[in-house]
Amino acid sequence: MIRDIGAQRILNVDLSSGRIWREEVDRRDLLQFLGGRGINAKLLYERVPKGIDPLGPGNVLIFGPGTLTGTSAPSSGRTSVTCKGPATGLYLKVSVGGHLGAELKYSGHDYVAFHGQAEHPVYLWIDDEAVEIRDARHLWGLGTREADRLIREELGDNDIEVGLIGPAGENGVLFSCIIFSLYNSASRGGPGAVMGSKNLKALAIRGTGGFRLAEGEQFSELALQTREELSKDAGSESLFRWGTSGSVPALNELKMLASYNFSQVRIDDAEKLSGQYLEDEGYLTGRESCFSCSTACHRFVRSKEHPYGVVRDSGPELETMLSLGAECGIVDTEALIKSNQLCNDYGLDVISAGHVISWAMESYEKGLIKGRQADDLDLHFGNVESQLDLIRRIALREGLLGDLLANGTKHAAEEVGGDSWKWAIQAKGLEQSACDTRAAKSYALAFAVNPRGPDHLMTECYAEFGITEEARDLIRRITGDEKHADPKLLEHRSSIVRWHEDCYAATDALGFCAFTSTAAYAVNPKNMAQLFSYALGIPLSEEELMRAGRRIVTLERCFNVREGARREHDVLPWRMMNDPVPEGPTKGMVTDKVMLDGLLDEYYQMHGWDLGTGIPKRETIESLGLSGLCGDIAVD
Amino acid sequence: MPQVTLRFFGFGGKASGFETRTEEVREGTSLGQLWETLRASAARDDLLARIDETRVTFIHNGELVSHENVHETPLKEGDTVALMVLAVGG
Amino acid sequence: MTLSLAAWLPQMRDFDGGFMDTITIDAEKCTACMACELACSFAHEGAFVPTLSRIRVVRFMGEGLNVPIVCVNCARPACVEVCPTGAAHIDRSVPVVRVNAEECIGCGECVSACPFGAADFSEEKQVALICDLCDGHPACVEHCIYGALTFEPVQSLAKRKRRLAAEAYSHRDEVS
Repeated sequence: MIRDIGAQRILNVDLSSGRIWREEVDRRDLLQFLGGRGINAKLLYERVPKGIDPLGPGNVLIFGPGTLTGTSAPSSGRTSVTCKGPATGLYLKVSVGGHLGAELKYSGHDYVAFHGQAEHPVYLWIDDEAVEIRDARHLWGLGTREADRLIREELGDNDIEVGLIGPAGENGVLFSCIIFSLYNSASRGGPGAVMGSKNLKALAIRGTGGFRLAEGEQFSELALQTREELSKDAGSESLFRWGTSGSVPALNELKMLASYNFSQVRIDDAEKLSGQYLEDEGYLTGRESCFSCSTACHRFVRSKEHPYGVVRDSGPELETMLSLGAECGIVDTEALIKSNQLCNDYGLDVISAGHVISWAMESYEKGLIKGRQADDLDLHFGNVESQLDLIRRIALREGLLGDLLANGTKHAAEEVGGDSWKWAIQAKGLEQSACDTRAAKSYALAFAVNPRGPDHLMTECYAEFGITEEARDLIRRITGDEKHADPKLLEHRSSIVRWHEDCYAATDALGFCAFTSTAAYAVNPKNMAQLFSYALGIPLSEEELMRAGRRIVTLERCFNVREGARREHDVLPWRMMNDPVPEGPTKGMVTDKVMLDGLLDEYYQMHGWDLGTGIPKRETIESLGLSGLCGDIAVD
Repeated sequence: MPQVTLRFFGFGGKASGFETRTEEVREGTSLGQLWETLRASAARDDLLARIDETRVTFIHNGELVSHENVHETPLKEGDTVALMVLAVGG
Repeated sequence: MTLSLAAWLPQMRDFDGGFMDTITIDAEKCTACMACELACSFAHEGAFVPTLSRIRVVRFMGEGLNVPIVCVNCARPACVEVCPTGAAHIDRSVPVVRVNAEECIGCGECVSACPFGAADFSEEKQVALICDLCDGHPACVEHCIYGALTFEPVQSLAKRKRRLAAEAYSHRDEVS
């Protein structure tokens, strides 16, 4: 079916009863919430009341590709996966690439929402309009690679799209992920565990339809222009050549490479963790794109010496190199290729996996975990065999340590006791990404207020480094002067974060990759609004787009407030607030309580939220048209 | 003539984008002037020749140099200069 | 090469012979971005519908290999040879194969006959999908920024392949 792109439909599946039903999305909601992450947030707010157990039948798991996903808009293939998060007990939006989002939309559905809990393992097969809940008992327990292969075989089509969990999600590991199109992962905060708790192994899709746009020619022309701008960006070129881990050598040179569980800022032989090394040494055999993307930042590698067996798989990307690599004191490329593959196959978020293991290593070296509690493993930093072993144990909840770590560093530190909570690099229950929030102050604020926990793929203010002319220009437009493009400054951080929050939410809602709008700037609020207008034939201004972004961010805040989150939860991990950077150009820096309080005050003020609690004020809710939804939690 | 150590990240003929070499500079040469010289002597299809100064990250003795200071930063014997096209990650 | 029984029907077409330009592929450069599929369907149908694209990317995800499959613009196209109604015919002005939608009966013989799997049939439009090279400016080639697709005379491809094969000899006299 060739559809009007503005006529969006939600596919609902109640796994408890087997009921399947569809809803139309009101076009007015599209103007208010844009789509994707925005509509997901609204659905979650409406359907998941306060106090629901994230791993119980009351949670709703929503897949929402962007409103422009399925078109030629550059790098517009991203999908938001939304639910109540099991690691934090709070709002969780996870972002993922690949091709599944487009395939879902081509099947005639713009969202899939899973309710309830199946009695036994199942998977959903969406074949255009024909939707079927199929038995997955024979797939349960299998790694993602094997299960994916079997699903394609039994459905008789190698070209379908599949999203699925591995054993980690099945075992409720709080940082288990959902793998999309094999190479991509909806990673952070444990969406895999939510899917596992519903006994849902996979989502398989065949979509043969498409979209006719209101102003197709103009859209196509602007999309092509934007794509060309993007490809000229030096950042895009670098991402293509060396992938996201192309930045490792520079980060190490700048002494900004978090290592040894954030206790150091550089590591010897860091080149072995780089995208350049993957290419030079012949590991790289291919580059892969997400749907409609011209950057191709993904790597595909083949191991060479095979000390851990032959590996042919996607990645490793930057986060693996940082978390499973430098943070664990490991600079062994073959080992990381293997660790990455294991995480992909078991279905584990590499960021949390790395930080959970680095926490365990520090705890071990400090004598707080030993012997039987360590499952008799040698957990010194740098121990590759132990890391590989632990990944399996965590995924399968095997042994004392495997089971302990499967719940994340927050819970693990509570159990282990002593001072171990101080080096659990987490807040709200989510492990922090390997960005040093002691030294980059916009990052510090953004991470502290992030509704899903301290993570970069929600509001990343890369512009504050002022690396490129476009970045400096953006900072000038936001703050009045490009000299504010300095991550060490505390001033103007709130306005920088505010702008990025809105832009990011709009980016996610339309399906764009954050690289295109907040790292390169060829995709920006102006042309996002223009593309939306051409596609739907409904005028949307840049201001309205950014306002919709703010509306989404506020709604997400309201969900958390309803769950009991307050200002005191907007914190950074202890180490970021108390242990100064040990060396390098940012030596001595921390983001302590005084600094954070100053940043929060300014940020809450800008948002129109109560300073003491962080709760949105009534007039703020009203001005955003959210009274109907969130009026009851606003404060006067 | 004073010698400085040059490190390149993300440029150059080599696939790795790494290169370390020493370069002789005249007394009092600024970082900006060194950049101009390098550019002028690069092969035509080299990224070094094509890229705009504003897209390059300059690091002098381990510290980021802001763009307005690039031409004001004098080089002396034993300095390390790193030039990079900084990629993004996540 | 799988030809159906209809292939030897008396309606054999006349060919001028002569070489035509063709779309050549370099699968190693293909990243599966699908820009080609979107460009093709938009150029022909004014809509983004990959199943209406004449070029399709085949993925081998276990290997990280992506292969765009597209009409190679045969000098003597099997699809035209087997078409019972003449719906698939050669337009000599380009030259290129065109499908006359009114005459297409949806028998699928062209799909069967094409050795490359480059012919398809659309349920939506009830017509065979055969590439027409966008009248000499293929949209897919224009939109592939990775250089996986090239539009060139087939002799250029031959020259490249000859040189690649010959390179095996070129280092013989090198002294290290």
